[in-house]
Amino acid sequence: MYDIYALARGPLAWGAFIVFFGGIIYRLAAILLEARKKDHVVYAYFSPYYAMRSMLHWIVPFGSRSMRQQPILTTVTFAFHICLIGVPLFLFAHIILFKESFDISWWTLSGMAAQVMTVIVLLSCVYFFVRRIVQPDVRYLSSTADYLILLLVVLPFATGFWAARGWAGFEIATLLHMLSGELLLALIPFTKLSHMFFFPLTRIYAGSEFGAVRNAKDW
Amino acid sequence: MKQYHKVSSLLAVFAFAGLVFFAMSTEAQFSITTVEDSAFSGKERMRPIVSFDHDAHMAYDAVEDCNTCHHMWEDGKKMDNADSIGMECSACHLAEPGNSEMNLISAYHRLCRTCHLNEKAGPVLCGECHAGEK
Repeated sequence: MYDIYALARGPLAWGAFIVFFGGIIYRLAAILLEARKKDHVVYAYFSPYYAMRSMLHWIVPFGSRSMRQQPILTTVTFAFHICLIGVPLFLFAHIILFKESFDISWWTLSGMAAQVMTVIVLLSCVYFFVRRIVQPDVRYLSSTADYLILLLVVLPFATGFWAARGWAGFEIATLLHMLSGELLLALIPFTKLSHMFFFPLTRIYAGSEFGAVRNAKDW
Repeated sequence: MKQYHKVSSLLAVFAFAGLVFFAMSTEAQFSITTVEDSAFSGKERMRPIVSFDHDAHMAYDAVEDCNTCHHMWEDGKKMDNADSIGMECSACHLAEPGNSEMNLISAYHRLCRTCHLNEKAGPVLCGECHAGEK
């Protein structure tokens, strides 16, 4: 137990952060270089105004037509993403670890808020899972990887909640929480979760083409 | 004469009861069972208070001297022949400006966890120390 803790708290944590940030830089650089080679016209038509306009419409809830057509999915997905990013970044227990390791700290959530937000993440994942199975078009598009990604996201939040509540077996839950969180971080750049940092590129591409070339909306 | 015995035995009972009461109260005063610091009082706790058996720790091999924990630092070096017994941890660990509570919390975490990890004994996970009610 002590060895696993020391490993998860030290080398594996470093590894996860390095693969996460290194992976993001690598994938961004690779796609930008590939576009320069294969799709050079993208650079020629790049428009900061239309790119920003597209990003704004897709980052504001109900800012796009498809979001208005699917109000439940839109509500769930925005609540999910806010909680998904907010809890790990502003959890008191996490900030304490940053303070101990790097002597930096910032604003934190109350314990109750963090727990409610974690439940929102978990219930959202249940919704996404059921939606993948029940809705025919989404089911057709779903691969095994999509279900595994869902599990990858659920694990650190479920075990984190278990650890925070101190329920029976919380020792194992805490170790699983650390390990699954590190696995998630390291896999983000190399799975569909890369939409986390590819989102701006998608919007820059579509926004510029629709705005500057086709004179149409892309939202 | 009988009356005298009655009074003296009654006095003896009272004296003994007083002694027991005194012993129990001093026991309660000197045996430390939780990690406390006045810097934490009056503030909302994020996690439950930490149970800590001071007497048990004094018997451990890894705790060589009082200043293993009650340390005193000067010019970035731990002093061999000095200790901080009787001082609150916050007397030094709140000295830095800004974010002072986090400094104190970090100091406790480092002190306890470092030793527990080195000795492979005692709690290291969040919920092992911060257990039970707030």
